[in-house]
Amino acid sequence: MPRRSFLGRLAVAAGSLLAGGAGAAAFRAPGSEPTGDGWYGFCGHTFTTGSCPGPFPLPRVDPAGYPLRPDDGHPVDNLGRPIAANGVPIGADGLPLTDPSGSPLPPAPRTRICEDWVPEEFGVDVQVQGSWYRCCNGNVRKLSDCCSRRETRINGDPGLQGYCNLGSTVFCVQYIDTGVPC
Amino acid sequence: MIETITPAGCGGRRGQLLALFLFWLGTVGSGALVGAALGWLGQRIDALPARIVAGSLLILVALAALDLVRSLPQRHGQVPEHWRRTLPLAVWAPGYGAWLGTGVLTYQAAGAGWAAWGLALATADPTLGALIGIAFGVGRAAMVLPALSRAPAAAASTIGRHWRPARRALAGVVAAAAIGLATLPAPASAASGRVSTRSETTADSRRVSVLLDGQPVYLAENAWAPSIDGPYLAVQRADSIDVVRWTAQRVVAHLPGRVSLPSLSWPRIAFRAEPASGPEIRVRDLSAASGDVIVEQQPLRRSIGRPSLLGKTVAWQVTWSGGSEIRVRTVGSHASSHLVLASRVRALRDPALGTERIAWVSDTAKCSDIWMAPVAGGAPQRVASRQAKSGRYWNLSLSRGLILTTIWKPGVAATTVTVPARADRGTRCSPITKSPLRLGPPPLPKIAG
Repeated sequence: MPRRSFLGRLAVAAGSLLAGGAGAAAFRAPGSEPTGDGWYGFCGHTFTTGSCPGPFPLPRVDPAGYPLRPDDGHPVDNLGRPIAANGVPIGADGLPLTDPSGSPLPPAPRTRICEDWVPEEFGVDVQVQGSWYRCCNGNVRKLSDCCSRRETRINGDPGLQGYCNLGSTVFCVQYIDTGVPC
Repeated sequence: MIETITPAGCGGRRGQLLALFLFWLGTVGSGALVGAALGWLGQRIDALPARIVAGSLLILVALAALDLVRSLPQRHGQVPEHWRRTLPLAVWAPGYGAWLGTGVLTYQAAGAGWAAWGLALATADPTLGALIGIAFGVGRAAMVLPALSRAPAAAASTIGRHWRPARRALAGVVAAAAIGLATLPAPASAASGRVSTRSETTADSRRVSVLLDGQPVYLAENAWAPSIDGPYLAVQRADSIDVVRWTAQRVVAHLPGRVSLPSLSWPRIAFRAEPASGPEIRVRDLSAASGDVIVEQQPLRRSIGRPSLLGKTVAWQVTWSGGSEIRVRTVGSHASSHLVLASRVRALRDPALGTERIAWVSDTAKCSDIWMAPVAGGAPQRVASRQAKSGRYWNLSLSRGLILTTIWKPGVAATTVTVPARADRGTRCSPITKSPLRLGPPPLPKIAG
């Protein structure tokens, strides 16, 4: 086991023991959700590869790869704000959010968390390649690998081929809730 | 001097008339220039000292007009007489006028020059100062009237008979002006303290206040998005932008239509216009009759944010679903706008121009950061960073090594804070080393997106 990943998991575990949930959060690797065992993942995915970067810790996306709110699947912009069809951020009442002077808030970008976020945040060329399916919360969840030719994963572990094409390795993972009952 | 402008001295009656006209023009023009300059000076110095100087001059002139003061401070000279022999008529005639129009370069019989310039200084307004100067110039040039008469000597004698009562009348007018200056409430001055603006929004009203050392001195109802530059304030209204001279409580420009988000750098104003074709950033010179300069046009699906104007340079943000950019352009140059920054992920917004640096807000879901970079190009530095859940940075302005900003969270009152305009190596919301933000020398390359 590589030294960096071992120390990382050890730090998460130690943090969890010492400070409970808050300690675990403090030791969290970027784009990851530590499980109780010190692994990174979410329903359908339990492994050391971290989640792709996005507005929320959980990398839920729509079929085109754009971010969705994990709780209810509402489209969100890159700041995590629910948006209307025209991209304007809206509140819980469905009305446009306003700034301190009462004017509508300007929109923010809404870009794909694998193809757009990863290259900008990590300087890595990536492509969504392999995927697999699990049953989560009564519906079919499609999990996909965001693959690169880099030798390490988002959380620093060595590259792992996973479901990526030959020569590529998994950089991070994301998922789509298909809505198909299972 | 005026008696030398005769048909004999000017090569005939026609030459005399031309000389008198040019003399009149020089006097009035010179008076207008001096008045405007003093009005401008009054604008830039403290209101109280300007009034003390002006009031002292007026009292002195009133006393002199009543013969209670023997002599006013003045130059006991005449116009350079040799000009008439060495220079052509088209030069010496207006030159004499301009010399006299200054009011202080020759002997003053009544001290009206000092009174006029004192008042011009007290107006603290170049336009009003120029009007006072013109009035003074017209009065001063009235000395050409006897020369136009067919019996100049008799006309001069008539004027002489009325001289003493006229001086007493002048004393009365000047004394009244001095009393008026002393009793009027002191006008607020941009130079007399720390000026700031405050925007207040409630369910049924929006208002903007100008604060001088924390005390409200001007209030604009049904207004928001203020931008202040010295004594001038631009505010957005429902269907227009108004520019007011808040020290004089009067509107100096009204920009009607679908316009919003003003940024004032007097005499220019940058603002967002929203014609049917899509949003634009325009710059208008309020001191000229020229039209708007359109510095940016975007299609409807893109959003343009509030511009920041400094002199002739304007910065603004463009946001669309695929990313956000901050652009800069200098009005008057033929170069197109250049890109300062671009990001596919972050919401780059609220650029603020300083004389040497540009600052902006960079938002992610978790963090709200303030970044800064040299306008001439160079590495950007993060100067502040905070967790977005506790409020984002909102609107920036750069001033004397400080960034003035507002921290705002929906549903919570905004608070204004100052941040030192230097790299912050302390608290960080997100790792800084992987930032994609780059800045190059103009023309700046597009980095991402």
